[in-house]
Amino acid sequence: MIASHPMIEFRRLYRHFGSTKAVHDISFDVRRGQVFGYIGPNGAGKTTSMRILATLDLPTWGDAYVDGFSCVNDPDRVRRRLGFMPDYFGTYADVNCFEYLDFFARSYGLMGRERHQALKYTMSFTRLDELAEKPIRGLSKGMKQRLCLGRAMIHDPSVLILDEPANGLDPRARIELREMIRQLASDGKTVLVSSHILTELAEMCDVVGIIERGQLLAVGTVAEIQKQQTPHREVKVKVLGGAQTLAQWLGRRIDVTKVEVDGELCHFTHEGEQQSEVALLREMVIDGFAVAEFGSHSKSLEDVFMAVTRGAVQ
Amino acid sequence: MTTLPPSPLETTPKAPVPGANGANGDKAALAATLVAPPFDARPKDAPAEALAGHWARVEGLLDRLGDRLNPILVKEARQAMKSRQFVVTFSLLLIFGWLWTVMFISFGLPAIFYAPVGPAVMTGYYVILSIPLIIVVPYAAFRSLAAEREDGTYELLSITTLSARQIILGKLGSALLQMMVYYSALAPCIAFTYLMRGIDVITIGLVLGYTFLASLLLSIFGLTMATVTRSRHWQVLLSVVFVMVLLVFGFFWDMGILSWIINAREVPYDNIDFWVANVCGVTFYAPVALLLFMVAAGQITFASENRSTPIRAVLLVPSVLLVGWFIYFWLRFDEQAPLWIVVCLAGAYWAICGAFLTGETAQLSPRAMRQLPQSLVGRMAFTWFNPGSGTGYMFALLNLLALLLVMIGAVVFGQLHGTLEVPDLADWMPMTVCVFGYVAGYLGLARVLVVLARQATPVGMLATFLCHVILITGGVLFPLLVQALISWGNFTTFDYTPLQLPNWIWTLEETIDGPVGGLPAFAWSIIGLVGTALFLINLVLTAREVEHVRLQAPRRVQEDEAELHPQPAQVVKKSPWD
Repeated sequence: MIASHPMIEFRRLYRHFGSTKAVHDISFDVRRGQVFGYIGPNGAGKTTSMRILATLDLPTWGDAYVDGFSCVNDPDRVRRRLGFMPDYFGTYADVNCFEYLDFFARSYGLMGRERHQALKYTMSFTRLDELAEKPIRGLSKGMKQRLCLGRAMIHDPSVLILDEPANGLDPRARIELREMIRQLASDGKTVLVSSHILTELAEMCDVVGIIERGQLLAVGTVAEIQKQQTPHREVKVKVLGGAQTLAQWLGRRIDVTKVEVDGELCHFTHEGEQQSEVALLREMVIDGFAVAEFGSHSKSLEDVFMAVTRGAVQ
Repeated sequence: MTTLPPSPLETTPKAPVPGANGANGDKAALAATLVAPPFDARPKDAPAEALAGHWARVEGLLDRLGDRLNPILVKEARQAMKSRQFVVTFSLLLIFGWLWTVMFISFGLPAIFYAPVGPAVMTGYYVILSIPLIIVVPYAAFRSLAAEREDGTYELLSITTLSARQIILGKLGSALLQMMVYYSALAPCIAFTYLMRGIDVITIGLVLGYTFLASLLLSIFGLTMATVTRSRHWQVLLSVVFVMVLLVFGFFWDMGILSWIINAREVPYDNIDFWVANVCGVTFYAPVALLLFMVAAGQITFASENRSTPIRAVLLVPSVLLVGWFIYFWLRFDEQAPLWIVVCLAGAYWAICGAFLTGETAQLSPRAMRQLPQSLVGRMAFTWFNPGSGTGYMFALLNLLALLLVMIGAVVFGQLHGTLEVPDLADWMPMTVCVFGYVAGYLGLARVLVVLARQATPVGMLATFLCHVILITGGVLFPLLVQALISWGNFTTFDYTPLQLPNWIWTLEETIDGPVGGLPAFAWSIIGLVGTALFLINLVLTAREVEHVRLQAPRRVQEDEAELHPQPAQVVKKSPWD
């Protein structure tokens, strides 16, 4: 039976450390199978809110829920459903990869065949098969990250919390990690992932939330946020021998602003959907402009992030 | 137990990863890895399988046995066997054991053939064994938990399904395992000691047994210390303090045991009282160890859980033991001494417990409130087990009161019986009233101050305990100082005066002295009245904590509970015999 409630839910969450408001009135939810990207500068409150969700900390006020269970009042039920990968490795000395995962499998109550299967699947999924006997201290950063992901998913949780999993990884390891997260989401897992690498989150996440100074500034799909923050699109038109005339023509329209001419190129901003851009192009051609190129784009996620946040830390 | 949803290994192979079938070969390779078939599906070599079948069964049996073990014990055992600390300690133990044997035989010849040199050889082996048991193992237990908290691995551990008690038990199991290894390593040497004559099996057994108990208690104490703070600086300080404590304790412990080994012939093994005293000691050892264990587990338990009630339940055990052993010793020796000792011990015990319990906060999480007693009788009897400063005060005082009433009952019984040695009830009452008055008064006063202070700032358990210590110390020193100033230059008549009423040490001493040099009647009446007044004030202040009622678990929790523990189908009675 598919649960009707959100898999992750923050309800009016506050976490204050003295006068520092690490998290201040955050509310949002994540549905089953969604990958939620948590974006924010350092000190924004991402890790604090994730730690509350992982039952490692208590909120000053409010609550967080995993699969309908309160992280404050039912931490044991939350822990059975949740896998947490913090922003540090947390590995033991004198233990190899297999022993490490085996220990956590046992700690999650997996026994006998169930544990063996979980170990085989996890090691295969995270590509740690060949490293099973290798001591953890000899692993590269990418390998350690895969091991930590393996630890977080060893008990087959329905929710995964990944705190900056791609931090410090080389491009190949990042791509591998991204593919793994997509695979987990396609298996029905709900993933909350934080990162500084915004473009990567845009590719990976269904929904993103931008947080700064403990407050959630924007939530939605990447397209929604882009549209919300920049409702207009930047348009560039190359007209053969009539850029000035086109500029005057555009100046008469109410949905066009900031018209600039640069040789044969004409730059302007257009407010409206892509459909209305098509209509605009059609009108240009009908009115006799020799349109050689027509291109438009909205702001990138990084531009949006810069626009939404102020770069302030507490 | 967690029920794992159908593992991807058990399902049909999945479709390739979306987006992985493009031109990028690496992506395709990765996707192929992600949907790799399970290991079980690989073809196996049939003859080899048949040959290995016997061992596979044994391995399977061991694996199933391993499943029953505490995961931390399994992990720690794997780690310990590879750790430098264990290898060095174990090697040194063997080397020194061997060296001592060789040296003793070399220098002891020919006396070892005819003289009873067992005690002499045992002393060397015991010192070699006691160092790892009394110092290394407890310190390793302390570091094991402290390092987990410093390195952040404890956080990963705490979000598994392991409970705090399982974590502490696992660490303790690891310490026990190390102890067993050290004992086993030196077992041949101990057997050799017996062959040298002059030392009996009882002495060897008791010495090794008590060392085991000491090592275990120190390990639990080390684990409790490790849970006190997370700060790295404080951990370093605690680490140094703990090593010092172990060294000092180890020195005196070894001196005591060595003296026992050397003078083993003088120990009254044939006296029943010797064995009763040993049993008495062990019965008090058990709750102390359990209490330390519960405190350690409580410290690392998630904050919204009820950490107080199990500790309070354990606190009752020494109190009950005190009564039980009092009755035994009183009836056996027919002396008044057990009465006075038990009352003083009970007062001190519940005063210390109360000093910690009154430091608790009265905020009950909804989780804790789901398990509150519900019926009238249940609430009357068990509300005092709920977390909170006020309930803690009442818990300590009611237990002390119960114990004092038992003692009064014993005195009355002794007087009615006629043959038992008991004090006169008129002499006994001042002692009872003073003990109750002082504990109720000082605990109550400190609690009122803490309640007032909490209106302005958070006051923790340690601060509350310090407040108690300051009050009871000040209660002794301040009257002495004032009287000293008043009678400056004339200390020849420095007698007990009403000014010394807050001075519990002097007052109790006067009470024990009895009617001759004893306490005036008005004095103990005032102490009793002040104590009762503070008790009543705190009872009123506790009203809010008593008002808590049980909360129903949310529907989601009830659904999950029903899924995890389905109720068995109700059996329908078809006949009177069903």
